[in-house]
Parts: sequence; structure tokens; C-alpha cells
Amino acid sequence: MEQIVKARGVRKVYRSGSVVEALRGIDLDIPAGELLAIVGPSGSGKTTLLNCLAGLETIDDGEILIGGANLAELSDDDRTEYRAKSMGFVFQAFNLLPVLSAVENVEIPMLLLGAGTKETRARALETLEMVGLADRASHRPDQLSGGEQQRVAVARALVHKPAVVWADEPTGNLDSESTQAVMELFLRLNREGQTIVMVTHNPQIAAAAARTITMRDGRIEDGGGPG
Amino acid sequence: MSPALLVLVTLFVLAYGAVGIFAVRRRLLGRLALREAVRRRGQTLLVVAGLMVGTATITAALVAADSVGDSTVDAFAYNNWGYVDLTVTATNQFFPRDVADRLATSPAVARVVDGVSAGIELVGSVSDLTARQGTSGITLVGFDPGSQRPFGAFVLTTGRETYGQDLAPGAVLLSRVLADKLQAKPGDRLHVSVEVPGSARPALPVDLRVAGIARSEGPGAYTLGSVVFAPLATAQDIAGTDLINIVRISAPGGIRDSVQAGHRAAPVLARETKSLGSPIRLAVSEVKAREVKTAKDSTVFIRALLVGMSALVVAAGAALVINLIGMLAEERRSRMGVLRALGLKRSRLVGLSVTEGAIYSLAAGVLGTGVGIAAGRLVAARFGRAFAEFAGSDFDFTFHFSLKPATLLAGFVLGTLLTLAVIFLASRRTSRMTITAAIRNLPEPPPERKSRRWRTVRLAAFGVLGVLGLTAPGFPRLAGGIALILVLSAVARSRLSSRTHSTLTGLALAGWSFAIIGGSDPNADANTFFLVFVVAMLTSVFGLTLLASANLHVAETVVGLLGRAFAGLRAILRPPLAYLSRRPVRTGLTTGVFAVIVGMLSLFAVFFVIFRPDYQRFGNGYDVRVLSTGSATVELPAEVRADVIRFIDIPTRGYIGPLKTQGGFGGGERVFVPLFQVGNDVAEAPPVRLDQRDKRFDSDRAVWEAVARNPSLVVADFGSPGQKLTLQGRDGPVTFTIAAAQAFGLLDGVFGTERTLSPFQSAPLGASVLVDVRDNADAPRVARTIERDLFGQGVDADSIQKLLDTADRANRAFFSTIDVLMRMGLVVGILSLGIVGMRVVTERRHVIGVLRAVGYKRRHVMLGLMTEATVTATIGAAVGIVVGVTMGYLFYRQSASQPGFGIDLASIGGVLGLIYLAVLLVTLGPAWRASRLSPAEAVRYSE
Repeated sequence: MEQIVKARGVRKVYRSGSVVEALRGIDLDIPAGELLAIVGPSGSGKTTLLNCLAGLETIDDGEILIGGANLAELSDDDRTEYRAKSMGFVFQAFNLLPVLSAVENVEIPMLLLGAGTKETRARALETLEMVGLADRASHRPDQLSGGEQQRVAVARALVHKPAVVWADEPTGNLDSESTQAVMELFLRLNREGQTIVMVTHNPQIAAAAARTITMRDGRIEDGGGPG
Repeated sequence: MSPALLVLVTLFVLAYGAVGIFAVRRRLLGRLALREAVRRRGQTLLVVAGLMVGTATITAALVAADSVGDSTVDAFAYNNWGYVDLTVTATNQFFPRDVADRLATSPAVARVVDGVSAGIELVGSVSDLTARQGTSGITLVGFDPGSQRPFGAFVLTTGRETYGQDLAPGAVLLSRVLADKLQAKPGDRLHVSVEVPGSARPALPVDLRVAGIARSEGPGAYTLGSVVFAPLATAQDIAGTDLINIVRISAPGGIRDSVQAGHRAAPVLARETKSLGSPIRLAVSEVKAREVKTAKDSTVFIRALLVGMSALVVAAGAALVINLIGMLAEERRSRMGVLRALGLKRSRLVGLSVTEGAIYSLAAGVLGTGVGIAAGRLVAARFGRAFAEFAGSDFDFTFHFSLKPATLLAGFVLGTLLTLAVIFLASRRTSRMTITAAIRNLPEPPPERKSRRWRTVRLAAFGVLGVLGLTAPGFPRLAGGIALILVLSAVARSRLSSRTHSTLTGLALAGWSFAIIGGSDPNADANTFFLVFVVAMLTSVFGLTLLASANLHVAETVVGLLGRAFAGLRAILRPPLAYLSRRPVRTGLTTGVFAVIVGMLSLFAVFFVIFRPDYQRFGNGYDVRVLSTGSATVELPAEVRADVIRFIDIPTRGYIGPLKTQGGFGGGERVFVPLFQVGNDVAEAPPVRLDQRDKRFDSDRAVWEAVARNPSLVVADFGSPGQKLTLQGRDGPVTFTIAAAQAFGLLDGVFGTERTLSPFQSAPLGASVLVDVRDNADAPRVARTIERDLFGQGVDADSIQKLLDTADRANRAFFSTIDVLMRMGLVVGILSLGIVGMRVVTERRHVIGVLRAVGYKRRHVMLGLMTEATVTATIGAAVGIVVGVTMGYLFYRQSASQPGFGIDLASIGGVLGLIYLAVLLVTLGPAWRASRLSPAEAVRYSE
């Protein structure tokens, strides 16, 4: 199976006051179409790993290959462009732009890629329909529930058909009903071939994933390694 | 201390006392406030700098107004009259010297005055036969050396002092102003001409010599203008009379503290004068006291103008304070949320913010007072320059800077109180938070709707007040209309889309403000007018800002229409435009600051054009003006006749006496007013063009026909059409109605027919001549030739171009006085943008992180933030230009016959250039910082 992400000997050190080694030589392969859950106690390095794999943070050592490109060798602009084309993000706090409507939020990645106005709107509405929010397209985030906001965030992550969707605690701010809805959405998307990597504290969510890796003190304790 | 200041100080003590008590009783909160205030020095400095704007502006305006007021009173009341407090006159008539002698020897009079002196005052012309220079419009002041002592000694430029007793026959003194004009020196031979109708004996040529040049102090500053001081006998010889036309009286005390004594002496003098049984009606006038009042009245307009303009800057400053408090609240939101979670009540949270704000505002008050003094000095200096331009070389006007402790206290107290009030209101707003959202730094959920019943009651009350306001004129009508628009807007809100609602509300507010300004009278009471003007300006700015913000999507649509190639740009512009359009209050706070200031500058840009030099119009086709106040005839020299196409000779009487005007502008107790006598056929060839007409007249011709027909109508260069002016005629006060105003600077005075001006037949007769020269003739050369050849007659000849340039310089100097305040306002606007930029970096870290994560490059973030700042400034500038130009047009329309309408694009362009440069400078830093945010850090950020 094609490995969409390959990480070898990844190290990340934070130097603000004291030196904290957040990642201590991570090796990880993620095949295309996998739904991978990263679990572990607080401070174990889950989010840092996800941010490094997604190119949101630079690494101090090792290499991360995504679609054959070594993230460490790319400039900030190139990494950003790569994210725009090939990645989608879902965050715990939804992080929708409060002043934009649902559909306008979803359109942003398409517009960034230079898609035309009509095409962008059609695709955004289609994606909102896919997450069950076509009727809420013109609502602003503060007019939506937490679950709805997170589904809009998922639509934004998917609208430009990225290679990987990175999700950091996507259900952390949701009630159980909304959690269920979002998870079902992820599972459906994954069944349709979408690669999804998510960090979670929730064992039930992790259990639903095809593979789970467990982190502790900056290392993969269980489930990692080259695939 | 004035009652108003006492009230302010009491309010200050109560407000800051309450804050102090809060800080003492809640020591923990007091300590917390103090620590927050000094925690980050850079931020503290920025906040204090922002908060000082109100105090600085108010102080600057008050200090400048004091300087103008005190300088005016000092010059026109005290220096103008010196030790003279009262006069006995018969208004342009002569009477026996015996009147002065009998008053001087009256024991009753002697008890209440220091001195009584016979004198002569006449307007005429003078020629310096040695320097070969002449001039008109001089005053011949005859004084009695024998009784001069109580009126002070003339101090000559050499340092010598004289009461005139040592002056030889024919020896005279010149005022400094006149000496400068004539380039005269001691020893020069002089010829003074005055034509006094009905004088007892013909005026004889008197050989006069300049004995000295008097410094502008004591009696040497008398009239402030061009004066020949002559011993009474010499003055009588020049005038061809044995009589006098004034008795000067000095009350006990110095120049500045004798007004009360003069007031006590006035009834005694009136009784004694009446008992003289003179066949000529003699009037006792408290000239200095009246002049003090007139001088104070005449500065009401300038004080109102300064306070009005400063109110605009203070309003801009208030918006800045709200932005600053918002910035602090954003930065501390999660901390405040934790405090609320730990049990701190909302009212105490407000108390905490207000205590911190009070520390800032006191520091800002002290700093602002200092800055205000400096700015006030600058504004005052500009007024000094403007007054000097208006006075030209005709007056000895010394402008001085006044700094009064009471004024500084008023500026400090008012500024800090206003700042504290804004801080309190802003803190109440920012203290509304959902605790959990604040702690986790999540967006605030939408507020719950308030009780419908309470809202309905409020709207109904507002509506009733609005209707009541509409029934009254002036400010209540403006406020009533605004209230009604807001009520209707609130009612219609749920029925309209947000965009339509904002657009209609904005249009209605701006339209109503413009309508009120269009219908208001700029010549009415200055305080009322400026109150209406300031509120209308702020309301129209608010309305148009609302309209512009609500329709910003048009910009995105335009970019969208450019097609696929601009899709990326559209993505970059979308967030900033959305932030601007969907947070209209916040956008308005920043754009409004720019809009108000650009609005004022645009208004002045219109004024610069509508008052621009228009040679042809101003001169009415004439090229040279010749004035002679000493001779009723002017014969043009043969040398220039070939160049002259036509000329008009206007008999001109040199009235000198009290002038009362509505509003007090230009009035005084001893004003020289040329009275231009026009024929009944004046409408066929009017001597001057009109600047403003009374609304009753639809053309300049209609005005002149009415002036020829109706002896109560005149044309004047001061006051405004429809206003009254009163001069002292032979048999008492004569009141005229101003039918129209002519352009200032060509023939300044009053135009009327012989019948109209008949009460002033005893005033000296001179002539004013306007000359039209051939197209290829050199008008300045013609003027020089006339002046040179007729110098013996003491005529003044000037090219119209020169007069126009002088008048234009004076106008521009006056407008430039407001410039300092407006530039302070620009600084406020620029500071606001910088603060908004910093606020954005703090507040939108999450958003910036997300945008970076989904593919915004660093330069996109920078571009987005700078676009937001630029669009903010652009909306402000656009709204300001629309408001300023519209108001300028409305003022232009009110002046029925101004020259053409236009805008000084260069001055607006300069301001815009400055704004955009400043925008670039102040937003570059925050934008760069925002672009450097690590997306991962920003997304997970919570303080």
C-alpha cells in the first residue's frame, strides 16, 4: 500500500526557558486511506507530532516525507503551499472565522487554490451538503451549535479534496451526540478513501480508528513504526 | 473659580474619590489594578499616550482661546485707549474747548477722575515731504500738553519721555505704525490734510515737523493705528478750527484696572456735562469698559470655533480610548474570566478596569495638559499670524500667549473626567463575558435578547422625545430627528436584512444631518451654530461609515468579477473585508476618527477654493484702488491717464466713532468706518461685486436698487446680510440693515446713498477711486505712479492684485489656525490604526493560525492585515471627503453670490498621502508580527 506519510527519526525540542524534548526520534508510516488515531496522556507529544507531520511546525532532526516531498527541506512558503493543496485541518476549538458564513468559511481553501467563483461556491455547497449542513450555509458560526461548527470545519478541511485530513481533538469540545455525528462523518469519509490522522483523548473514538498509536514522553509506545 | 469650573472640580473629586475608595476598600483589586497598569511599560506608554488626547485637545483649545481673548482685550480695549476711560463727544461735531475746562474745574468731577483733557480726533491723509511718502486713513490726534500728565507720557523711540509741553509749534509725534509706513524720521517735514465740513475757518497749510516717534505704549499706542499726535493748538490749525471734538477723561488707576473707577465716574460726568447747558448734544461714554465688552464678545466666535473643532478631536479621542480599552480587555480576557470564575462580581470587574483606567487617565491628564499647552501655543501663534495678516501694517496689534491656572485646571479636569467616563462605559461593555468562553479564549456566544417590554418602553420614550425635538429649531431639531431615525431603525431591524438596515439607517442619519446644516444660519449665535455643526458632522460621519461598512462586499464582488486570476486575491481579501463589514461598530470607531478629521480638512479644502483669489471678480473689472482721506478730490496724474480706460470716484466720509454690530464682530467704541456715498443710479454700474446677499434679493442688481431706494439699507464688508449695524449719527444712533456683503479687502466700509449717509455729513470728506487700466498696462506701476505723484495729498494707491493677495493671505492664515487641532486629530486616527493592528494580532491569533494552516502564506497574512488597515483608512477618508465636501457645498449655497464652487484637490491629496504613509508605517509592525506567528502556536494559543 502507498505510504502517504513517512517519518524517520523525528525530533522536536522546545526551548522556552527550559529545554523540553517533545518528540524523541519518531518513526511512523501512514498508508493512504488509513484512519489513524494518536492517543496518549497529556504532554506525551501527540499534538506536536501531528503539527510536525502536517508541516505546521518545523522539526529539529529527522525527516518527514509526504507524497515524496521532504517537509524539512521545503521553505515556509512551499510548505504552506503544500498544505493548501494537499492537507485539511480540523481543530478542537473549530476555529472558524467568526465573521464569515458557513459557506464562506468552506470556500477559503478553494479560493486560495485559485478556483473560480462559481465553481468554488458549488463545491462548497456540495461539501456542506455532504456533512448535512446545506440548509445552514448562510449562517455564521455564532448561529451554529458546536457540533454544526465542527462539521463546517470538516467541510472546510475536505472541500479541496486533500490527501490527508489532520484532526486535533476534533470532538474535544462536543457533547456525545455531536461527537457521534462527527465520528460517523469521519468514518464515512475514510470508507470513501480519505486519509485521516487524528489526535484524541477519547478511547471510544480511538477504538473506531483502523489503527491507533499510543504516545508517552515523546515516543511512540505502541502501534507505530514503519508500516 | 467660575461656577462651571467649580462643578467640574466637584465632579472630578467625586469620580476619582469613588475610584480611590474602591481601591482602598478592595485592596486586592486595587493592587491588581496598579500592577496591571505598570506591568508592561511599552503598553502603559501607548495607553497613556492614547488617553491624553482628550485633555491635550481641550487644553490646547482653551489655552488658544484665552490667548486670543486676552490679546484682543489687551489690544483693542487697553492699549487702544491707554489711560482714557471715558470720553465726552458730540459725534463728528465740534464744540467749544470750554466744555473740557469747566469739567476739569468741577469739584464733583475732580473727586472721581484723575484727569480731563480737551482734544481733537480726525481722519485725514499725511505726506512726508522729506521721505516723499504719503498715506491716507491716518488719525490726527490733538492732545492738550497742559493736561496730559494723567494720561501718561509719550515714550519716544530714543527713550525720551514727553507730555508734549516741550514740543515747538508745528512739531508733532508719529505713532510707530505711521512712521514705518512713511519711513519717517525725526526732523522730516510733514503735511497733514483733513477736510472738515463747516469748520469755522479754512484749513491752512501748516508746516509740520516730526519731533519724534512714539513707542506703542501708554498714549503712544492710542488708536493702535497710524496717528499724528499734535499739541491741540497745532491740531486746531491743521483742522482750521478753534473748537475741539473730544474730551478725554482718565479715571483713577492704571491702564488695566481703571474700568470700575470709570464706571463710578460716569454718572457724575453725565450730570456735570448736562449742567453745562451746551446747545450741542454731548454724550459721555464709558469707552474703555464698552470696548472691553465688545472685545470679549468679538472673541466668542473664535472660542466657539476652537471648542467646536476640539470637540471633534475629543470625539475621535474617545473612539481611541474605546479601542484601547478593547485592546486591554482582549489581552486579559482569559485572566478576567478566571477572576469571574473565582467569584469576582461583574461590577467589581468593572471597578478593577476603571481603577486601572483611572491610573492611566490621571497620568494622561498630566501629560495631556503639557502637550495641550504646547499645542495651544502653536494654535495661538497661528492666530497671532492670522491677526497680523488681517491687521497688515495698519494696526499695532501685539498677540501674546496666555496661560492661566484656571484654564489648565479646566482642561485637566474636563479631559480626565471625559476619559474616565469613556473608560467606565467601555469597561461595562467589555466586562460582559461568558466565563467559560473567556477562560478557554473561545469566541463569545451571541448575547441574549433583552426584555421586549423594556425595549418597547425605551423606544417609545425616545420616539416621543424625538417628536418634541422636531418642533424646536436648532440643536433640538437635529437631535429629535436623529432620535426618530434611530427608533425607526430599531423597529425595522428585524424586518430587513442587516445590509439593507445599515444602509438605510446610515443614509437617513447623513441626509438628516446635511438637511439641518443646509438650513442653519452660520451667522446666528456662534455657540449654537457650532453645537449643531459638531453633532451634525459626527452624525453624518457615523451614518456614512455605517453605510460604507455594510456595503464592503462590493469590493470583494469587484475582485470576484476580475475572474479566476484574482481568486487568490479574493481569498486574501475576504477575511479583512468581512471583519470590517460585519463589525460595524468597531470599524466605525476607527474609520470615524479619520472621517471626522478628513471631513474637516475637506471642508477647508472647499473653503480655500470658494474664497480663492478671483482677480476679475474681486476687482469688479478695476485694476487699481486709490484712497484719499484728507482731500475730497483726486485728480489722476497726466502720466497715467493714457493707461486708464475708466475710473469711478466715490465720495467717502471718514466716520470715526462707535460701531455696533450683531454678534459684536468688528464693532468697537472708536472705529474708523469709511462711508462710501453712491448715487441713486448705482445699480447701473456698481462699484464692487457682492459676496453674500440677503435671501430677499435674487441678484446683485436687486440689492443695489434696494440700497438706492431704501435709506435703511446698506452694503458692508463686515457682519452678514440681514444683520443690523449701528453708527452714531449727528442726532443719535443710526441703525442700518446690511442688504449684502462685499468682498473684504477692496473698499472696506459701508456703502449707502447720500440720503442714507446724511446723518454723518459732519465727518471729514475724502475720496475713493477705482481705476480700470488697459489690458497691457502694468497696474502696479500705475499705482506706484499715482502714489508718487499724489504723495503730497497723502493718497494710497494699490493694485487690486496686491489687495487680493493680502486678503487671501489673511483668509488662509485664519483657516490655518485650525490646522494644528486637525493634525492632532490625524495623529489620533493613526494611533487608532496602530492600536487596532496590535489588537488584531492579540485577538485573532487563532484565526491567523488557522489561515496559515489552511494555506495562507506569511505575505498573505501581512497583505490581509495591511489591506484591512488601508480599507479602514480609505473608508474614513472617503466618508470624510463626502461629508466635508457636502458641508462645504451647503455653506457655499448659503452664500448666494460666492465665486464658483470647487475643491482644493492638492490639499486633500496631501492629507491622503500622509494618511496612507502613516497607515503603512503603523501597521507594518503588527502585520509583520502576525505573519511570523507559528500556525501551530497560534492555533493552540490561550493565555
